[in-house]
Amino acid sequence: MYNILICDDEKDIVNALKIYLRDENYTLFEAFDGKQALRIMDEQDIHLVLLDIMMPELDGISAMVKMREKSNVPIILLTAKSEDTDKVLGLTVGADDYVTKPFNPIEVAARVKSQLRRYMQLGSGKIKPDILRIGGIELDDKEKVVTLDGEAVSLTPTEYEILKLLMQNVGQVFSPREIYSKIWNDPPYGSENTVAVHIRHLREKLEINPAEPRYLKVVWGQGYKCEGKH
Amino acid sequence: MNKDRRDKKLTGSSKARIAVFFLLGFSFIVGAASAAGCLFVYAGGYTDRVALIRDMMWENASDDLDMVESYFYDEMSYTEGGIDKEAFGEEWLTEYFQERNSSAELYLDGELVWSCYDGEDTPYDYLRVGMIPSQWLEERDTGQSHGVSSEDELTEYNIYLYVDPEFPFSDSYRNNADLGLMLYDLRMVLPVAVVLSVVVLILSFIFLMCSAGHKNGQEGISPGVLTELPLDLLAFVFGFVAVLGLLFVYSFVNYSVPVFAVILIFTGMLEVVWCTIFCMEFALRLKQGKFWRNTIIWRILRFLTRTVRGLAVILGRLFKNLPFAYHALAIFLPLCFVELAVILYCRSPEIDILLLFWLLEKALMLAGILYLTMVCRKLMLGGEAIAQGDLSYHVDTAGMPPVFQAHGENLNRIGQGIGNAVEERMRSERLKTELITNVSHDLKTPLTSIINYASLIGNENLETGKVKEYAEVLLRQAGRLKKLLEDLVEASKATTGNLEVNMAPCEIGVMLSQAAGEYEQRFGEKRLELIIKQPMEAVRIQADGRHLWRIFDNLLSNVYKYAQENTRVYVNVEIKENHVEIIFRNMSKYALDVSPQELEERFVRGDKSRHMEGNGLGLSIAGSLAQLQGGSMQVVTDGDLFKVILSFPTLG
Repeated sequence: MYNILICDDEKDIVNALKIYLRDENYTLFEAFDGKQALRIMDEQDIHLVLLDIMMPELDGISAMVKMREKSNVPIILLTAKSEDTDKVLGLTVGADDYVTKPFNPIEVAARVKSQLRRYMQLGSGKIKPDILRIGGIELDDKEKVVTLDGEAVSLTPTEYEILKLLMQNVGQVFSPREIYSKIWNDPPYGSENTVAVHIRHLREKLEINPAEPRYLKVVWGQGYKCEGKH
Repeated sequence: MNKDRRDKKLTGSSKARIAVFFLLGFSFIVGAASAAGCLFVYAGGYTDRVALIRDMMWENASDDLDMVESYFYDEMSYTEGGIDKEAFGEEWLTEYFQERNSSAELYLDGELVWSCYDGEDTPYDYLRVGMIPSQWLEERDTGQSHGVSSEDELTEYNIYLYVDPEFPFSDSYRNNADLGLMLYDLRMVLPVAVVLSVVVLILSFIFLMCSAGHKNGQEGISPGVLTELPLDLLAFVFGFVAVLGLLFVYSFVNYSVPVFAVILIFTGMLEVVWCTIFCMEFALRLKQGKFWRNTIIWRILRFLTRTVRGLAVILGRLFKNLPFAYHALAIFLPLCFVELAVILYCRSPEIDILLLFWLLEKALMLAGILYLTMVCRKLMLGGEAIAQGDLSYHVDTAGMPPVFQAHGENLNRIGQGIGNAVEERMRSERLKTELITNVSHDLKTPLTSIINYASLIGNENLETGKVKEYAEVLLRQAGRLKKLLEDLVEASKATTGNLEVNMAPCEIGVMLSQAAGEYEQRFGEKRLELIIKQPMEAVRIQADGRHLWRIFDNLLSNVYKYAQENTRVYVNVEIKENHVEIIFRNMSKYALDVSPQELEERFVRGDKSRHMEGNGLGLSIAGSLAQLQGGSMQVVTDGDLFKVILSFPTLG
């Protein structure tokens, strides 16, 4: 159904990824350096790219810049570099997601699936009113339904209210105290810990890797916020 | 043991103390009286009773003799015109002796003139012999008034006084005779009484000194009513009162001996008690130690020394802050003035030319000193700059004397040397971090393959369950390797400070509630109860939230890994003067046979057997990150209690 390009100079890694993605009914293309990847991109109609950064001939970042000149397919970076600056660089230059080595193959498969669904199914942008959307998360306040990459997610009423509050105010940091008094309509007396527990549950339900959330960010020592592109 | 306790009780009892005070006074009275008696009996050398009683009554007899004599004298000197024998107060005198145990006779030139003596035999007789100018007698006979005596011709008169040994009347004679009799009867006992009294006096005194400051039911030395007062003021008051007592006694010197003796003894007793009270107070202060501190003199001296020291410090600081040249001048100019004064004092014409030379020499010296101070100042500034870490400072050695120039060059070389060493060290640290980062990058790629294929093996539907098991081991160990690599990079970056730090205001309370939320489930698994105690007001610090979370994460994951299950974990937030302490406390599952310093080192773990997960980098990273954010971390172990104290400066 979908054409996926896997590009890494390590053959073993490419093979492993192929095995994991095989089950999902994708057509897989492989490349072992940046130039090869660009060539395949020209020849084939690729729907998603898994791209390593440190490669011979042409490194991943440069290759991505070239790809972005022609295409806006989702690109997931795979790299051994785990520094924050590298991540920021990758994301600003045009990556849609980022996975650090050594990665959990199941997590990679999940991210591939998520990106593809957003790109192929929801990308057409039939935006309904009353729908809050951040990244792959959609919150329909009329129907009281939350979907992640098109799939319904079951949330408790409290989790739903917290998510709504954060999604209505993207980028704004709420302290646990504020969240408590807004959701519970009670003055918080040492019960802010419950807020943190609910947010953790939300992350577990909405994030592929709850330890490195894409949307529901923790601002340590200050509070929580929702972040991401609409 | 038992006796000891009783002694303690006795010295502590106020009743016993009052009783001993009475004993003290009583023994003084007895002792003083016995001593006076002893003195009288033994100094007089009396061997028989009569002589003693006779001497005892001497005072009274003397009074009576005076009486007769004075009336006789009055008669002789003040009567004018022919006066008969009966006229000299004869009737009054006879009346005077009527109610007394004594009687008297007056002989003039061997001839009995007047008598009230009944002639009974008595061992107690006293005689007074006197002279009067014979002229007075003639004038008395002739009835002329007293004129100027022509020659010193004198007539003898004798007054005899007899005391009735029966003592029929109750008067001072009888009292003194009784006293004398008693003294004589007690003459053997008196010395013993004196010695006993002195012994009792001394013992009482010692007891009181020992008991000073002790109170039953109270440990140690408890202060009394007077202890607040300065010792010297107290000594003055006590001394003043004691002297007043002595003055009081002195005012009775002219009274008769028995009155004086009684006053003396009683006042003496009061003085002894009074002084003992003071001695007790002094003893109490001695026991308390540093008795001199509670005196006015000490306070004044202390005030003076502090003032002088304070002035010295201020002056010293002033002097220190003055430029170096002023120091030299402050020493040099007064010396010059002294010399000048001496020279001017010894001035004579031939010295005048010398004075000129002297002035010239001093001017040259002044210039030289100023030049040298300038050079020294340059060197000093250079030294200071290097000490403060400005290693690129260059001392300008041009125009310096050779010795100073060499020193300046050395300073420059030291700066350069240290600068090179520091740079070298920094470079090697940076290289180390780079090496670790690169190696870990290179290790991650093969590790990725290992993890991927191990999980592939695990997912294969193989018939032997063992392969699946082995694949799980591979996966788990590969996971550990991954964590180790990440921590290694993190630790190396944190220790070298090669890490981006974005400081922002952080609220400890929020941080703790977030951390508690993250760990709620994991702590629940091990039935660990997290108890957070923090002040009511919000505590804010300046920190990088992500690094701070990393610290909390490492510490809490240590707690999760190493805390004894089913126990409570405490996190306390305490505000100190200008910093805040966040204290993590938990009971360790394993015996902590490693010192806290070692635990903070890299790759050291609480359990030496290393059968737990973890790599021993957590605390090291946490400590480095805390330092990186201007805080500090301290690990304390007390038996199985494991405690980590994070300390950060508070914000506003």
